[in-house]
Amino acid sequence: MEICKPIVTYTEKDIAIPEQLKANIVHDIPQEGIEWQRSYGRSVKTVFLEAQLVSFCDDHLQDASVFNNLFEKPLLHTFWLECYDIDTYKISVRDELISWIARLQKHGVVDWLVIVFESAESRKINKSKLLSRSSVVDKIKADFPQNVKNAAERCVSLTDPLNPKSNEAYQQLLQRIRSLLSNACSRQLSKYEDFIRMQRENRNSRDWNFFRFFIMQEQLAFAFEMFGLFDEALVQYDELDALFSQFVLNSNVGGIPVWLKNLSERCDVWHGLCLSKSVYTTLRNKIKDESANLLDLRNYLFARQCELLLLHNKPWEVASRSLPFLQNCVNELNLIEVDLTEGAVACWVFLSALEILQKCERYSDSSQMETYSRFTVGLWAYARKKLEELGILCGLMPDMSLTSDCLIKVVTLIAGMGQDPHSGDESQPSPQMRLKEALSKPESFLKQYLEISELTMGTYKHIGHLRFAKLIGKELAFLYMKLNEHQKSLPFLLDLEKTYLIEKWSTLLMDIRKYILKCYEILNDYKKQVRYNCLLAATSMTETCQSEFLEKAKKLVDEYEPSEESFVMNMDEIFPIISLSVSRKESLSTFELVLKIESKLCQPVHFERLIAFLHYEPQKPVRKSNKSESNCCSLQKASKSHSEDIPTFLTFTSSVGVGVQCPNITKCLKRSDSQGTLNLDGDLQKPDLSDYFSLSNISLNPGINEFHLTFESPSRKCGIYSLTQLYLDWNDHVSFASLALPTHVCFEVISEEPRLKVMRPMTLSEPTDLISGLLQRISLELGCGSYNFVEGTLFNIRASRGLKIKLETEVDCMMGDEVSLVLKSTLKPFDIYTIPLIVFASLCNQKDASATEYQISLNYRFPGFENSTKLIAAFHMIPSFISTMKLHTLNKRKLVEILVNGITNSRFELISADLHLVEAKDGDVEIKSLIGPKTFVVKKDQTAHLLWELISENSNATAKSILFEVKYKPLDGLNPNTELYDYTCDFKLNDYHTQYSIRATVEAQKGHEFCRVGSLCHLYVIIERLVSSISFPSIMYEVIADGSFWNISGRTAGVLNETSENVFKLSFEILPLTTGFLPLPSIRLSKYIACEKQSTNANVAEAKLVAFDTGQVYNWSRGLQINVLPSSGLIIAE
Amino acid sequence: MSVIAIAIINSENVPIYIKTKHDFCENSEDEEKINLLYILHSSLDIVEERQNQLQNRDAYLGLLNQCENYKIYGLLSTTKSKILLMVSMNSNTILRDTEARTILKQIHSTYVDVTTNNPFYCRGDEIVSKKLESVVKNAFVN
Repeated sequence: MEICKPIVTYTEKDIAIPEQLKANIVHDIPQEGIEWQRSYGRSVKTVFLEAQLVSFCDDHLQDASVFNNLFEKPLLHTFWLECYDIDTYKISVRDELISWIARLQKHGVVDWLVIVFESAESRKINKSKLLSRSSVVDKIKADFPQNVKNAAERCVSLTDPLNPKSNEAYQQLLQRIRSLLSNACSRQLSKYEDFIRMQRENRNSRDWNFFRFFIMQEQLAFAFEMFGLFDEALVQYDELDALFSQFVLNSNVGGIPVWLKNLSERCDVWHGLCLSKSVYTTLRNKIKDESANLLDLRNYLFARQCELLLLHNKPWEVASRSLPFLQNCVNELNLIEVDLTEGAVACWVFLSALEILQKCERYSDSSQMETYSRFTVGLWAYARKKLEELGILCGLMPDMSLTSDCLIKVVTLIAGMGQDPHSGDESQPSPQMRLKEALSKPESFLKQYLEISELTMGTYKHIGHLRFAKLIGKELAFLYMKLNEHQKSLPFLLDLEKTYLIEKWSTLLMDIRKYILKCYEILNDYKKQVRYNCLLAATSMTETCQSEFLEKAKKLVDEYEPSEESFVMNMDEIFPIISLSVSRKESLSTFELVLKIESKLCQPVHFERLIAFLHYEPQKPVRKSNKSESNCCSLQKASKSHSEDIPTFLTFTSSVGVGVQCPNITKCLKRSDSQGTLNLDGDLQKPDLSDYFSLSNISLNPGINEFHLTFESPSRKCGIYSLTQLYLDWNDHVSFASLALPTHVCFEVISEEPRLKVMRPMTLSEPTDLISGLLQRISLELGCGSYNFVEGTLFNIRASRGLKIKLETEVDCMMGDEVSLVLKSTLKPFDIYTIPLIVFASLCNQKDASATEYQISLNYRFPGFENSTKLIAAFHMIPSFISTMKLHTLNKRKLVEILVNGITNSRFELISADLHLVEAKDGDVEIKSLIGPKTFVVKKDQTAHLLWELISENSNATAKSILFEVKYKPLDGLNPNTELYDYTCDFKLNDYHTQYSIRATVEAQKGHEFCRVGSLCHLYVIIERLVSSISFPSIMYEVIADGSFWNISGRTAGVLNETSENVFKLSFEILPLTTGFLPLPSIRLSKYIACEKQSTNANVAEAKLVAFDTGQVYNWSRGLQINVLPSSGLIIAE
Repeated sequence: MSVIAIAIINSENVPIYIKTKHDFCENSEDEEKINLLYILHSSLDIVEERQNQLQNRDAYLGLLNQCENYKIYGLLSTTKSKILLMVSMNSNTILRDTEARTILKQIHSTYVDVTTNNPFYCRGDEIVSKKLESVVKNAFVN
């Protein structure tokens, strides 16, 4: 560093300062820092001052109006004297000291110090004196002129300074020197700063010189650096940097100053930046001599900045400042139009960048590699670029030839680099060595270039700048292409293609694809050539390019050898699908796909076939019949995500909160694979699907094309068909396929069997229920399902038992079990064919109003089929009316009552009702009608009661079964003819002969005329047997009285054993409990079967009661009542 | 004419508006324009890096990338739309940082107006707008 340290002078009086002491002082001053109070309110800083001791001479007091050097003038003056007693002082020293001070004051010097040397001996002498009030030091202080400030501090006594024991006084001396020196420095610096400022103001004057100014301001930097204020020093250089840049920029506008002109004219060497001290010291000398060129100045300036940054412990900033520095410098060279040999700038940049990188590497820390890389990667990239530039210039690139012209260039460039500043250092190849090596021959150039490229690319990748890395990859790819190693360039290019495709930078994509195509052309990859030609034909900017690529593709396709395997290309970029929709055509099993495809090619292209493959998934049509009645297929369009199973969502509530749970979250939230969007046509294979829409011989015109494709679903292949892929067959071997369809299109094909259904014609006048016993109009509906019924198909309609049918159209026909019908027209699928029928179901022996099921079957056979098919329809009919029978008894007489109940609202007239005996011998039982030849009308809620008497001559003769016959005709409805229908109904009869009769009476107690409440009465019961032969031995009687009316005392039941008597008389005492007409207690008779005593079986040990059949017991007293009066007062009195 | 190129790139890094100086002058070479695009595209790396670094940030990103011949300034909107401004370093008038900021902000506000006020604009589509065109052209000319 070329700077004189602040000068401290010394004047010796009667003393020779020991050399050792001087050296100590110079050495010890910078050992401790001192607070530096600065002008202009700048912050206080601790500085470490250095100084040099110089013997005082008169020149030191010369007033210098111009600063040549910052610390040219001494900053502090010292006066050393050795005096032991005041007298000696007064005589010999005093005058001289005063005149010294006066001289200093005269020249405006305020920083001075007097040092009094006291040896230990002299001190002893002084102490021995009793009155040594004032020492020499005190005396000196007193002698200072009045105007001297801080007089007390300007005199220091020093005793034996070389002795460590007197260290305290020595330290005090140092402190004093530092303090005074710092004040002086501060004063001097601010003066100098003012001076620099003034100089800078003059920068536009003609004779101003940047070099001079540079050296001047640099003094400040040096001073700050010396004081340890590296940031302050850096500021000085930054100011100079900015000033210089401004000059260069302004040179563009105004005239170029002479010094700048000189600076630019001298550029005949391009020494790289060198950060070693020895080198930039020589540069400084050049600047000082005003012989430096622009690069020298810049190199020096940046080297100093770097040094200060490194001293300030900011190696990163070195890296971060480097790139702008290099770029700025190159710009400046351009701006002031420095005439440099071609490639010189590149050499300089390369050398400088590598120098900085090497320097930074020494400071890099592996933990901060990434931060560091962020700054250095730009340098690497820049160096790489410049190396490439040089390579092209000097014919070192692979596709170039090294001519003699190039060799001359290389020699010139190497000569301009000068000597290698790092020539002695063998630890690593110096930048210049590397560059020289690279320029020496193409092989080593390639090695260097690849090395730096890989390093740059790796660093970019490391810090996550993938796009930059890929861009370098592009250049590497070009290099490999030049090296004729196209296989190596492909990965880089494909990587770029992928990036641009994802981010849709179409121009770049197209550009890269051109190179990819070139590679494939060289590599002779037929398939890829076709593909990339097509892609480029679709995306190129100009039509001429487009047609050119298309022609190439067409030619390639035509040349294709059929022996090779076929291949498929992705069509999404060339023929994007605009829309898809499926609809059903006239024919039910035919579907039409309306497809809109855009052709991005500029000419019409002919394709052999367009196929849309369908994925078939069999599915049982789980549908309700009424839903599918009119639809044969349901077209579903759903979003893409609905590809397989629609995710089902469940909502659930809990005490904590409400949420939505997705049971198949993995399916729903499946990450959309970015690969899916890419054109990996290597994976495309023609699917082996049997179902597809197709269209042959089509021509795709530029722009949007619409196609109608049809698909005939195979019969009975029900299920869901979804559109999966679209294929465009160029020829047998080359085809395009869509990777993804814009919409998910699917449809469901269902198949239905023909069905038969019985429908009741809906009229207001007729009831909706079908009624048996009447002619009823029905219509038979034949649903064709998914089948065609051709004209002439024979239908055979058969009715089940009890049902007669005829066609409504054939009026004259008789009702029969079966009718046949020939189909007069063809039925299409899902047509409904109605056959109007008239049915009649005869009324059968029905005792209740429940409906009866009938069936009608329809047989048909399709022409050409052997088997006929039978369809069955069932329906219910309710009877018109029903009849029930009641048997009535009057002692021995028997009456049969037949009740005819109407069920429906229709009215029926019953004519000539008759009752017959079935299976009875004539004469034994006679039936006598009690009604006469009358007609009855029945309807709902209107019942006909018909009565007959059974008269038996013989008590043994019984009628087991009777048959009720009647003719009826409907009075309402659509049965205008008065044809009478027969109705028969048979009834079973049991043994109905009366066996016992019961007579019961209640009489008051004797002497009483009436029964009264609370007075005992008698119940007399007479049971009479009416038949002689009895099948059972005993009967049991029970008196059952209502507990609220009667209180019966004694036994109320008993058994009447076998006896020859026919009449049993029983009497009971009963007590009426209430007044009024009370019904008599009822008497019940039962057959009594006593237990068999021999039987060991416990179950049959009990006696059994068996009830009599209807009509076997006749009760005369049934319904009899007796008037019970209230009790008389007399009885109460009793 | 110190502006070389202006690009609006949406949040998916898809370019929705690109203008280069070549679009304004006739008989320019496509290759040059494509090279500019390569550089613009790679600058997205730096935008992404800044995007991850800063939290409370200004939309204007400042200088992204600098080369001998050009500087690239960037703006990153809150919706992650990016606007890149490529400026020449070789021309006589050098664009100042504040000027770059002004141009970018102006383009951004026009871009927002043009895209949000147009009901037919679909996100990701290329922008066709006379208003934006004139603003951009202005930036190129001045």
